[in-house]
Amino acid sequence: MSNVIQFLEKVGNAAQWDDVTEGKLELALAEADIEGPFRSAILNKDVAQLQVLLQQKEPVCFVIPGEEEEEEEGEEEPGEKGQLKDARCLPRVRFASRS
Amino acid sequence: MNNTPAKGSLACVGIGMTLGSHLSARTRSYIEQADVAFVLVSDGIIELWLQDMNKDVRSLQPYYQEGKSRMKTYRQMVEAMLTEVRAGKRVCGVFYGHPGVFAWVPHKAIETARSEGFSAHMEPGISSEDCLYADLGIDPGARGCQHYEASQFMLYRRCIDPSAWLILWQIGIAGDRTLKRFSTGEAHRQVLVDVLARHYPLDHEVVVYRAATLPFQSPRIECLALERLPLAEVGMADTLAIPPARPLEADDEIRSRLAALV
Ligand SMILES: C[S@@+](CC[C@H](N)C(=O)[O-])C[C@H]1O[C@@H](n2cnc3c(N)ncnc32)[C@H](O)[C@@H]1O
Repeated sequence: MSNVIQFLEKVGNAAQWDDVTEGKLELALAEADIEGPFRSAILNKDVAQLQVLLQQKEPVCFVIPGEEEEEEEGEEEPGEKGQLKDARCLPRVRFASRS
Repeated sequence: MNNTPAKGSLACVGIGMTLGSHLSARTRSYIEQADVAFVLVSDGIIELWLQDMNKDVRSLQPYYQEGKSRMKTYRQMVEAMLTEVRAGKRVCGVFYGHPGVFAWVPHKAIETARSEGFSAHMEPGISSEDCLYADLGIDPGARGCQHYEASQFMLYRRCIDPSAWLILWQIGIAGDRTLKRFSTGEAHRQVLVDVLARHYPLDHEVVVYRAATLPFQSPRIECLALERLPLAEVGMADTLAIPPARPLEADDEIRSRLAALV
């Protein structure tokens, strides 16, 4: 498995892979000892198959709420009510929050 | 002898979008030199790649659960990182794209760490926004470019300029007020189309965009009429790009004031 990841990193790293011929790609795969289904998935640019072979499903990638939920009771936003311990935690830019 | 324990620190770094292509040398060294690296990425294969860069790599994925508020999930992620910072560790939060772009968790973690007196740093990365400009051939400076989180765009009245680009993020969960879903469907996207129809004709062409996360992958660039958006297949990592629908409008009053100055 790790040789597959290393191979992907190598391809991601360098411009020469953009328009590589199938023959050269086959050679590079052989040099990296990548065989069988991994080899065909990469040759066919079959990302879905590669995910299956590496036992990966699509991760969740949301990291922001559209609308912030209220804080749970007792919790306090750092930076509020003069609780600052360090001036570096002041927001760099101030702006109007919700009305 | 100084017995003060090593003080914890936090770095939230961005690894860019595509495996092997966007990681800066500095970001790599933050990951490699951390005592513990927490990762949140948009491709499982990228997570495998990161596991080789540090001996203590912890995925933040297990905090997500359908039916659980994402706000709770986000707070738990912040807390997980902060717990290790408080224990005196050098912590690296590794995020796909840019850690400060449409990303509550890294901003909150840094703010909290600083408020507790720890050193905290954000290291930028190549965002999906950057890939969008490159893949769609857009220069945000040419006509201007507005960015909104899709649900926030629906829930609040915004002053939209249809003569500039409009980019909507997280369209896969557009209109989800529960914060508990990983996808919304046709009905929610129809409401989004109705909001957009205040500013754009229904036959206006829009683009569903997804940047490549693996090196030999092609980006998704699917053009469709706005009215067809509800029926389109839209996933967690898709972004909606709406081209300008109107020409730039000259401000004659300001132009004559400026002309009078010369
Ligand atoms: C919480 S934001 C995080 C963005 C991230 N910090 C960045 O710099 O790209 C998640 C949203 O980013 C956008 N996104 C994530 N992956 C993407 C990709 N591969 N291509 C295009 N947009 C993507 C989608 O709108 C997705 O719903």
